[in-house]
Amino acid sequence: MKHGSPATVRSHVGTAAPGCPVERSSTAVACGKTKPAPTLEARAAGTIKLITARLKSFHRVFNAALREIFDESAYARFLSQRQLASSRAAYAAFRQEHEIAKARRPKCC
Amino acid sequence: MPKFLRILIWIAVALLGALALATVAFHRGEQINAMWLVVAAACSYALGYRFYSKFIAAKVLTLDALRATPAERLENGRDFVPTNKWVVFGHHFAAIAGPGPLVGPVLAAQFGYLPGTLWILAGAVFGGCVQDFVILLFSVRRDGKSLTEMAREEIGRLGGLVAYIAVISIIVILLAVCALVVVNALKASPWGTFTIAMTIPIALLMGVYLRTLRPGKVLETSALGFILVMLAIWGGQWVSQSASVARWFTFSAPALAILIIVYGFAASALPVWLLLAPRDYLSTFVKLGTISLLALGIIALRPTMHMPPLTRFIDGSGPVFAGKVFPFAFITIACGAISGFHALISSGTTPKLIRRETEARVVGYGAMLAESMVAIMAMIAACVLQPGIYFAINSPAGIVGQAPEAAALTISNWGFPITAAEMHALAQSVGEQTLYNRTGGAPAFAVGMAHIFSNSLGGQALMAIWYHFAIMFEALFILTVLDAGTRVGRFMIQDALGHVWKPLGRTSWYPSILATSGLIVAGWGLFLWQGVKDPLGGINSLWPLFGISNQLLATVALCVATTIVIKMGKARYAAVTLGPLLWLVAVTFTASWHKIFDPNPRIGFLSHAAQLASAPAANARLIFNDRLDAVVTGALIVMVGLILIESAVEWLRVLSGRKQARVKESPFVATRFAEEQG
Repeated sequence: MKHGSPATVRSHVGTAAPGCPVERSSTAVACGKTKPAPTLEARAAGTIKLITARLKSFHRVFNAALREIFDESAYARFLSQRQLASSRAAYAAFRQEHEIAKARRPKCC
Repeated sequence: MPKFLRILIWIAVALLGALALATVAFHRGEQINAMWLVVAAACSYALGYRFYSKFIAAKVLTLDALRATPAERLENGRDFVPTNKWVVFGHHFAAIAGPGPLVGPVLAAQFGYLPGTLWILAGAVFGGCVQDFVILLFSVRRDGKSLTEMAREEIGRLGGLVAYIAVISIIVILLAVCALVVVNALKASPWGTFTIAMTIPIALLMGVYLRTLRPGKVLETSALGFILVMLAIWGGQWVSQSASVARWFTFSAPALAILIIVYGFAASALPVWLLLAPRDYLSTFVKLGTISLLALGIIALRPTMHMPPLTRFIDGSGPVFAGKVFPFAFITIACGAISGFHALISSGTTPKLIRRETEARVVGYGAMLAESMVAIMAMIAACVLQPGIYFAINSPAGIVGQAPEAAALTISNWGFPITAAEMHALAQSVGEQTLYNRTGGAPAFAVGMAHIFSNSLGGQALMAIWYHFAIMFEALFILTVLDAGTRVGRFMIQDALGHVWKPLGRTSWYPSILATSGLIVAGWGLFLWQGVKDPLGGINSLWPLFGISNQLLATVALCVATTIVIKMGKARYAAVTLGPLLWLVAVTFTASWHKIFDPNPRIGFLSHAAQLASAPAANARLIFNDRLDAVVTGALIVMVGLILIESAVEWLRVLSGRKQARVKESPFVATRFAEEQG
């Protein structure tokens, strides 16, 4: 596993690219160049695009959460770690390993 | 977004929240709409998350976006897995959301909606969310260590031991209370019992499908299981209507208690994974779906609250459970406001999934806010009922009498008019023979939920279906908590006994499995039996005991948190955890004193035992039960008192400089996720 040194990583977090000011607003600068004001159509298209992207992202995360809660992701990781294809035997092995750990997890009241 | 616009938005949120809270708190003499509660809650949570949790994250915990979490450093694809924050949020919420936030507020509604609602909001924002958040973060910084391990390392050996005993005690009492809620919901209810019985073959079918036909497709299997359960609920009406078939599924409370005890033992001791694992999935599926559905139902219907903000029972004479609003409202509602049990989850699975330290805020603080919202919904479900109906369902026969007319008259004399004919019609509409004396909170919640659902979708024709859907939902996931809790308790006892004699600690050695399963089941079985046989319904004594033990566990968690905060050199911010800790000490110690020594036999265990002993036909078993409850409460208080003293000594030693402040965190390693947004 690779880790950068703390100092190296810190210098790149929360700052803009070298030489550029920190961005303050949506109409701000990209390193000295002023953006032209977008047209109404372009703004509407941008908003729709943004909403679509957000919805897609929500759907992706929602699915991922369900897959994690219902152990489908854990099974996928199990298969990938052992380089197995999904099968009855693989699932049985996964359940055997997984259930011992799961049995120790408390469920709240 | 420009800064001034953001400020304006937050001012608007604060004003709206203040208006909603004022309406909830000061409206008298006429009914209010439930949406005021929803708005008050949403605004309080938004403000709490945006400002208070951010303050804690920045000033108290100083979350470090550059520090690698154990999920990253120890990644093994099994326990330690860096996971998207919203995925961890969902996972954590599914683990902390149980029957507590549904049942507690329903029971506390006997004081009116106001005390419970205010406690849920303030308790969550300043107590429960803070506890979950700081414990999660401290566990993350200690490679996912458990609460008991952190207590031992940061406070001392006694702290670790007390935390361990408190955890075992709370598990035993929790399981007994959960089982009692199911017993009271299913007794003399062939429809409900049939539905729950059908989940066994359905789960077995799911198990076979999952293992042989579609390995690993859990969501698909759970959806199929859900359809089958809905068919079972639909079919239950014919079971209840057929005298000969209904007989097979009609059980008394003691018979159901025995069945549940046998089930708990079998679930812990026998290799019945084919049943339990799919049922666990099914239960989670139903739980998440139903909570979402209830939220939509409340928003769609915007029901009126019929319960007054305060009832006469704040004086301690309540029929659901005896005791004044302080401290009993605050121990009755645990999970929706602050629950010590959450500290076990925040220091268990979740810290091993957190990808970045900064994400502990949304998971720890945020998921508890969501749980608190569930409690608000439960409060609404109870308070949309006519108060007469609410008290008829939740009052034990020992208080209101066995005969319907007598019960209706008693409740009407309290100022909550109800007739036997109305109760009969309601029971008929939900497909039950009677709804009197259904203590435990689950049936009242189910009637409220059925009211909301049927008025949003399907009308009165579907009232019975929705009622039994709600009962199935509660019973199913309570039984899942029961079997999971029994296994967890068994493992904990095995771990402890392994120090005495090694073979007892081997989780695969059958004599040890049988002995420890028997021990844990005997523990909660004893309390369950006591509750079933209690003429006051059992909830009166067991739910406060559960509340006390749960809040005492929160006290232990906050002791650990305060100790770490002080050792981090952040003593000036210690009030963040010390405040809720002092409040919980006041609440739990006062409640415990009342439960043990109060001269009112409906409240004090010892005075109740004395009253029973002075009766002509003294019941030795009931007297023993009372004394046992008093001893258990006393023992818990003594243990937590010890941990408080040990913590306070540690704080003083660190603050006075007699001990070097040194936290036992894992060493700093830089994260590779540092450049990601968020």
